[in-house]
Formats: sequence, structure tokens, C-alpha cells
Amino acid sequence: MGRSLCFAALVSVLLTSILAAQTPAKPVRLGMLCPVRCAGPGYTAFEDELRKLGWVEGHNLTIERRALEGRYERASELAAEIVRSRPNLIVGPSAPIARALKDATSEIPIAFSFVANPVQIGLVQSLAHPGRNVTGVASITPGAFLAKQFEILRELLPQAQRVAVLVNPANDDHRLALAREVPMAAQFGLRVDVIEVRAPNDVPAAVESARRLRAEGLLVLGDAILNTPPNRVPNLLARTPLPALYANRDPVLAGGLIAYTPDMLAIARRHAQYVDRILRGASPADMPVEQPSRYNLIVNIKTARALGLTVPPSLLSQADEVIE
Amino acid sequence: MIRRRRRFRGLFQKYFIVLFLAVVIPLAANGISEAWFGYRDQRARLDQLLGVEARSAAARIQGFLDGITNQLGWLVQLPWSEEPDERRRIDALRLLRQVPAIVSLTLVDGTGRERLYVSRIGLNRTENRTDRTGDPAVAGARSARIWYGQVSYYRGSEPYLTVAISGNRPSVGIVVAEVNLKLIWDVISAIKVGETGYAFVLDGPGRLVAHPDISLVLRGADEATLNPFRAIREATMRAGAGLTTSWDAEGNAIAAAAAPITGPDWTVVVEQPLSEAFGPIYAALWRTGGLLLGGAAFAAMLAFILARRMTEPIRLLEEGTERIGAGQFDHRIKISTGDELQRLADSFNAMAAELAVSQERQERIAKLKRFLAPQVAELVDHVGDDTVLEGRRTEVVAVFCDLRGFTAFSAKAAPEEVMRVLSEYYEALGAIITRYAATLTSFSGDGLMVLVNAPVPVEEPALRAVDLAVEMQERVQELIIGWRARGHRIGFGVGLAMGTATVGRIGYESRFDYTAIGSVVNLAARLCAAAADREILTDETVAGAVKDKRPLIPLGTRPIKGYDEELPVFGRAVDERPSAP
Repeated sequence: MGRSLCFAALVSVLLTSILAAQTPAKPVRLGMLCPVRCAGPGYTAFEDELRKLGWVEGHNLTIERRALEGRYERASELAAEIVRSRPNLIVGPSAPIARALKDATSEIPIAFSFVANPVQIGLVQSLAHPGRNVTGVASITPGAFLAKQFEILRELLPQAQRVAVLVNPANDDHRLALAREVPMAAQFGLRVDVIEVRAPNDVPAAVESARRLRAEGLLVLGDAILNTPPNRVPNLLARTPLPALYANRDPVLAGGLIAYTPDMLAIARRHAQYVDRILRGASPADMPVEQPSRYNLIVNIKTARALGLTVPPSLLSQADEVIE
Repeated sequence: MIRRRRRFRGLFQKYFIVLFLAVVIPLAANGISEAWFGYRDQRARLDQLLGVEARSAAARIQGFLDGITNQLGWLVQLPWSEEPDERRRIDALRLLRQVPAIVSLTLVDGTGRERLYVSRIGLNRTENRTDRTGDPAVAGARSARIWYGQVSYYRGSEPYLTVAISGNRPSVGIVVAEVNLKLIWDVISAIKVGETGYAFVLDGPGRLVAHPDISLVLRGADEATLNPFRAIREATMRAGAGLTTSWDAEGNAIAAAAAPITGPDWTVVVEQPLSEAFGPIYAALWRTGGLLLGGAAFAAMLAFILARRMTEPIRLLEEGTERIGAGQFDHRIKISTGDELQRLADSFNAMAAELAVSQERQERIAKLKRFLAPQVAELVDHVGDDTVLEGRRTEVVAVFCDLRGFTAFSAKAAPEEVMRVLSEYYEALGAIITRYAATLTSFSGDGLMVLVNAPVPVEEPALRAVDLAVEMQERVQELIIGWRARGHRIGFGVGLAMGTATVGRIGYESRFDYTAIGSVVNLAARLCAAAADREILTDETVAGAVKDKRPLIPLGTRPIKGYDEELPVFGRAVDERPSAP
């Protein structure tokens, strides 16, 4: 009894000394700026990965969270606030937040995530050599990702002629994608109506206007104000015959029809690995921006059935996940 | 002393060094050879190990590519018709899902026209029917069933490879696939060489295809990033099949080996930090070094003790001889080693004992010589003891002599002249006394007393005493001629008497004299005092003893001081010689 107690004490002393040797005495401070709320599966995965890498919040890591509550116009203000608190590193998902952070400091390292066009937005000099204090994980390989969604929609709805796209005009990636890829929709014989959503509260009205425009299909682009909470748009569409394609898996799990999306949780984990490397001394200027290499097609057969849709075998054969 | 010290230390040093080397050299030779062979074995083992690792890594990368080409093979099995082939489109899309590394697929029919294009990120095309015969991938696959393109960097970052495969007959067409090489990461990061070693892949021109640190790959064609890897590959190429040592980008020494991937002309290099790869060698070297050090320390201790034990008797001998040399004959060298050194010490001790005896004898002779003629002294010594000097009563002849007019002379002559005369005088008499083996008992000023027949008895002592007196008188008279020439008025007289007297040593501690006491001595002294220059006076006993041999003239009786009646006196005068010859 006495011996096992002694052993336990020895082990705990060893463990604490190992921990103390591995982690700096002063906790590392991480600033976080979130578009709506700093919560959700992505954030959970991010923090979990950090924990796996040895960064335990409250022990050797403090995270100062600031949320825009969907009001992107406040991005600069909160970014400045975070920079004033001088954290060791700032993380922020989405293009407008990354841009606001980048404008707020050129010294504190910034690790972005869920940005599609970091070069065009001016966050980094090139993917291979970010060159400044900003690096991160790209959400998609830009070029034809929106068009790819038109293509999927076309395949799903061979007869459709008119589709509506819910976008956030404050999101640079959306603007770039629209300008570049909406014209491509013509080759699928689709007419595209762009519906702008500026705040989470505008979502019901946007869905309503899509219905009013007699859109036969709906594209919901990847943005926190469009997809928070994830079941919002699927719920709004639940009693309408409007099929929707999402750029996120969660809405499909919540009753949405279909999604073509990179693995967001994997991106969140990769993002945490970037944070770890920067906290351990790597320079963001030398850390190439990584793009996802894999995209998942998720189909909710239940919803398709409710809509009276038959998912063609060409799509089903590509589906990575089929919800029945 | 200092020289002797140094010599002593030198001997110790020599013994120490010889003994030390005798132990250390075989030990070191053994240790070093063992370390050397151990190093060779370990290096050969490492050579083999890294070679196997490299080949296995190459096989795994090749496996990754083969997996892709095998999957692609499914798409080039059936011949194309002129109709759009929906089945094949679904197959292609399923293949995209199946093989994540494939970014896009282009299917070309037997005539070289593009029939289908499906992409993960780009828009799909069907029945485009563009002529793709000029495409190097198509041309390459037509000539060699599998064609690998050059690695290119998509958007300057992600490495892509074009792979083309043709079917087993032209009509089935060709499939061209874009492969995102980033996905080799799963393979390359799983390759571990030892604890911290890893593998990386370079293409023909030396661009990084795969590395466990994906960010190095994503830097694209960045010379600064690529150069260290190229240098390692160069080094492995120079080394041939075996392993080589080089430096990685951080400047750490590494052991590396390479293996080719023949299809796309890539090279897999496996590297391991030298500290880890040679870890067992270093451990063995440290062990050998430690043993050597321990052995050397032990040898030094042993050598020290042995050298001490060997030089200690020598030191004792040296010290002993030094002390004996300094006259300490009672000193004994204590060595009990039971060998030649002890024998040497024993003989030194014996020598010291003999020296002590000899010195004692020398001292005794020196003592005797002070009042005995040397030959007498030797004789006494030869007898072995000086009991002859003990007091006893014996028959002796006492001879007295002194200079006449010496007191007056010494009063007016210069001290130097007085001493010169005395020294000539004693020199002459001393030689004669010695020759006659007489015993000089005392002298003072110009007078001296000589005994004959004591302490050593002689034959016919009276005759010898008379001859002695005559010769003394003659010799001194010769001297007197010289003295007179210098203007000194000096004469010489001798008196001798024979009779029983007590002889022996008298005196105290270190100051002993041998003398005779008795009336005969007084008589001789009185006779001497009575003798005129050139005259020798004897008593009746002497005259009686020599009457047939030496002519002595009876001078009638004379009153002698201290004697109640007059005593008969005999004399002999020495002729005056005109001058010295």
C-alpha cells in the first residue's frame, strides 16, 4: 500500500516535471476571431487537435475569443481589439476576418482557415511562400468550385433552368467566385440569381426571395452566417420543394439535400497543426498555404425522397456519404 | 644529494613506465582493434540496414504509383464505340472517389480523341473529341504502356504528376491521370528509419516529390529548400549502393542511402541522424574508451606498487651505503626480499662490520703510533690487543738526551731560528728512534725520553740503547756543526740507565701517554744532566751488559742527585769531526 502510494507520488512528480519541462511556464495566449460564434464542430476539432499536440487550454494555453455575431462590419474593430491584447498568435476563419486581422497587425502571426483565395485577397504572396506574418489552410482549390456545384446541381436536376445562390457579399471569396464562375453556369443552361445575405437574420428573407424568384435549385455557399446554426436553411426549406446544395456537411446531416465540400473537420485539425508549429517557433512566412486534396459528396436520400427526387447513379457512385 | 635523488627517481620512473606499458599496450591494442572491428561490423550492418530501408521505401512509393496505375487499368479494357459511354463515365467518377490522389482523368479513344474528362475540382467534359494525339502523355503511353510525366507544381505549390496508361490494344484507348503527389505523404510519413530517420523522394531534376514535412514539398521549386536534398542525393550517388554520410538542411550529420524508383525516374533517399545511426558504434567506442581508461588506471596503480616494491630495497641499499660511507659502521641494511638484493644487502652489512673492525684497528694503531715506533705499533696491533700497554714492572733502558746551552740560545735567538733548530733536531732524532724501535715516551723543549724494551721486549736492550745513544750523539753533532756555523753555541748530551721500572699508560680520556716510573728513569735523567757535550753517560748495569761488545770507559764514581752514595758512571765520547762530510 505504502509502496504503491510512493510509486504514484513518484510518477506524478515525474509527469509534472516532464510537463513543466515541455511547456513554458507562462501560458501561450491565442486570439480567436469568429464570424458568428466561437463554437461548433470545427472549433471542437481545432481545440481537440491542439490538446493532442500538447496545448491544453487553461494549463499552458489561453484562448481569447471574440465573435462578430455575424456582423462582418465589426471585423476591423474586434481585430484591432485582439491585436491590442498582444496575443502570441491569432486565428480566424473566413476571408473577411483573415483580411481584417492582417490589416490590424503585421507582427503578430496569423493563422487563417476556410479561405479559398488567400493570394487574390492579398493575405499571402504565394501559396508556396506566404512571405509575411500570415499563413493558414485554404478551404478549397479555387477556380471552378462554384461551377462544380452548378455541375452537380445540373446532374441532380436535369430539367432545372433557374438556380438561386445565397452569398455573403462581405466574403471576398464569394465575390471572387461569383465574378469568375457564375458565367460558367451558362454552359449548363442555368440562370443564376444571386441573393445576398448580410446578417444571420437575413437568411429567412433570402430563402423566401429564392422561392419568390421561382428558383428550381438553391446553392448555399460556405459562410458562417449562412450555415449557423447548420439546420437553419434546411429547416426553412423543409416545407418547400426547393432542393439545395450546400458547401458544408452539417446542413445535410440536419436535413439538407446534398453537399460537395472539403473535409471541414480535417481542415480544422490541420489548422491546429499550423498553430502548433507557429507556437513552437516556425515562421508563418515560410509555411506554405495548404489546400485540401479531397472533396466529399454527401447525399441525404431521405430528403431527396421527400422532395420526390431520384439521385442519379453517377452521383450516387461518387457519394462518399449517403444518409438514408 | 640532488643528483642522487634524481637518479633514484629515474629508476622508479623507468620501472614504472616499463611496467605500465607492459600492461597498457596489450590492453590498448586489444581495445582499439576490437573497437575498429566493431566499427566495421556496425558500419556494414548499418550499410545493409539503410540499403534495405531505402529499397523498402522505394517499393512502397512504387506501390503507391502501382496502386494508381492498377486502378487506371480498369478504364482501358473495353474498346470505344462512337456512342457516348455513360458506363465508363460512372466508372471514371467512381475511380476518382476510390483513389483520392487522382485529381482528374482524361480518357482518350483509339484514334487519339478526348472522349471523357472528369475532375475533382474542374468541370467535367464528355465527348469533347479534341485530338489529343500531340499530347506527350498520349504519345508516351502509346509507345510505352505506362508513361510518367514530369513533376509540376500546381499554383506553384502542390506537386502533380501526369500518368498515362494505354490498354493492351489500341482500340481501348488511353487514360491520362493527374495525380496529386501530396498524397504520397501518407506513405512517406509512415516510413520510419530507426527512431528519427525518415525518407524523402526527389524526381529526376531534383525536385522534392515527397517528404514527411509536407510544407517543404509545398514550397515548390524553391532552390534554397531543394539544395540540401540534392546534395544528399549527390552524396548517395557518389557512394554507389552503400550508405554515405552527409549533412541535412539543419547541418546535422546524417547517414543516407538511396534507391531508385524506375518508373518515373525518382530517387528515394532514406536518412538517419548519424548520432542515432552510429549510436551503437559510439556506445561501443565509449565502452572501449572507458575500459581502456579503467585498465590504464589499474595498470598505473599496479606499476606504481610494483615499481615501489622494486626500488624500495634499492633505495634502502643506497641509503645504507651512504650512511656506511659516512662512517656509520653500525648501520645495518634491513632487506628481506629473499632475492639477490637481500644477498647484496647482507654482503653490505658484512662489509660494514669489517669496516668497523678495520677502523677500530686503524684508530688503535694511530693511538699507539703517537708514542711507539711504527713497527712496534704495528706489532702491538698485530697481537690484536693493547694489553702490552697495561701497567707492569719490567726491565727497561731509559735514555735521556738534551741540548746544552739551548736555554741561553733560545733567549737571544729569534723564535723562527729556535723553531728551526728544534725541528732539525727532532727530525734527526725521530728517524733514529724509529729505526731502533725505541719508545718515545715524552719530550719537552730540547729534552726527550726514550724507552727500550718496553712495551715490547727486544733482544739485548742495553746494547741497542747504547747504539741508539751513539747514533743520536753522532747525528746531532753533525747538526751542531751547522748550527755553530750559524753562530749558535749549542752542545748535546745523552744519559742512559737500565733497571726495573713500572711502565704503562698514564693520562686521562683521550690524552694518554706511555711512560716508565722508577729510579732507573731518574738515574738516566741525572746522567743526562751530568753529561757534557759529545758525551754519553751510562750506569753500571748498562756498562755491564755491553762490556764485551761496546767500549765504555769507566769514569769512576760520581755523586748523583737523589742518591746517598756516589755511583759508578761509564761514558763514551763521540769524536769531534772537523766538518760534516
